[in-house]
Amino acid sequence: MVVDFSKLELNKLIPIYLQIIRHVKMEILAGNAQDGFEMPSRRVLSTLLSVNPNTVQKAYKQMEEEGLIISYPGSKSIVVANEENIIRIRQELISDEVLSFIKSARAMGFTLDQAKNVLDKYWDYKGKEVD
Amino acid sequence: MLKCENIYKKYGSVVALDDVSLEFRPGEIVGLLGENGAGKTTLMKTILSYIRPNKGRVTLDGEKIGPNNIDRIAFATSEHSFFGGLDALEHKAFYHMQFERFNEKRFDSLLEFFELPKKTKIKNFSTGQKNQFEVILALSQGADYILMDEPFAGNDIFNREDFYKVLLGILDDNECLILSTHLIEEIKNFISRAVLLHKGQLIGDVTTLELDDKNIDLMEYMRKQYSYRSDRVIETLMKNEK
Repeated sequence: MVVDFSKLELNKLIPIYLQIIRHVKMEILAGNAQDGFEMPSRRVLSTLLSVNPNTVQKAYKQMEEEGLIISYPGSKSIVVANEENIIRIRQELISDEVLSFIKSARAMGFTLDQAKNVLDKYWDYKGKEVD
Repeated sequence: MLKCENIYKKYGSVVALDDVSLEFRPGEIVGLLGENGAGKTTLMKTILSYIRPNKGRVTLDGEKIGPNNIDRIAFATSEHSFFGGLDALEHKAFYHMQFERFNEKRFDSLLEFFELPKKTKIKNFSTGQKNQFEVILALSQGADYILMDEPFAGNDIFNREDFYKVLLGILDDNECLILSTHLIEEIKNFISRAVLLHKGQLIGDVTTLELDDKNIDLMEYMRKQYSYRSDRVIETLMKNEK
């Protein structure tokens, strides 16, 4: 099975190679990209996303360094979705989200307790109208 | 490596290229960017020796551009430099005779991709079709360095988006594509390097990986390079006033 990139919509705010890496991490956490899944070849992904091959290569290289994928001679790359990686990615992605939440909350003048209250209030929120 | 050294070109009293030095390497996709009259077309024509610079020289792997190596460079001029009375297949036959490394497979697949008629005289093509056909010829010549001057003129956005994909799919690792364009937002993820000309001067040269590392957008980079330059203009003016 090959990791699916058809739902990745690139935005203009973040460097493309980071968006590629993040997409793979999200796919792993969602269980869509499982251990042993194949990555598309660099050329195929470059064509699919209309992105320069160097950018794709940069993303793959960083994922190799992180141990997220292993590349074999002949350029086939395999996803490593073992428990260790899953725990690490989960921590990392939630930290990113929380950090950006904290940044906004601080900028709006919230204290830690106030921010915690907001979290508590919305923890079970399921998309109903906010009162 | 395609090397331009200290290219200086004057048209009458207008300086079109002012001491421009640049190197292009295999595998690069270079966006040649700049306002109208910045010198993009003049630079391309100088590389092909259509224009003789007043100073400076162009070399390909250390040798002057001439009959021995000119076939390693292709140029889609957007000036429709082909035979109006011949159809697409006749052009293919002619290119086959002229260029040893003519890539027939690529020619056929691109002709199909653009849905161009095979047996209509080129002079009866629309402007957009003519541009597409020029691009096909340049890509199929078997050259190592492929230059394109505003290759997307006359193509609508959907066609262009597909075209970027096709290019990324067909280009070999050792081919170098150099294209001039105004569509900066559109090509910023597609290119590997941006070269910025302004009033005949080279004011910026950056790889997109460098931009990624600095986390700045191509547009932002261009703005910076432009304003840096205008600061210098003001500086010069003030010095002259004293």
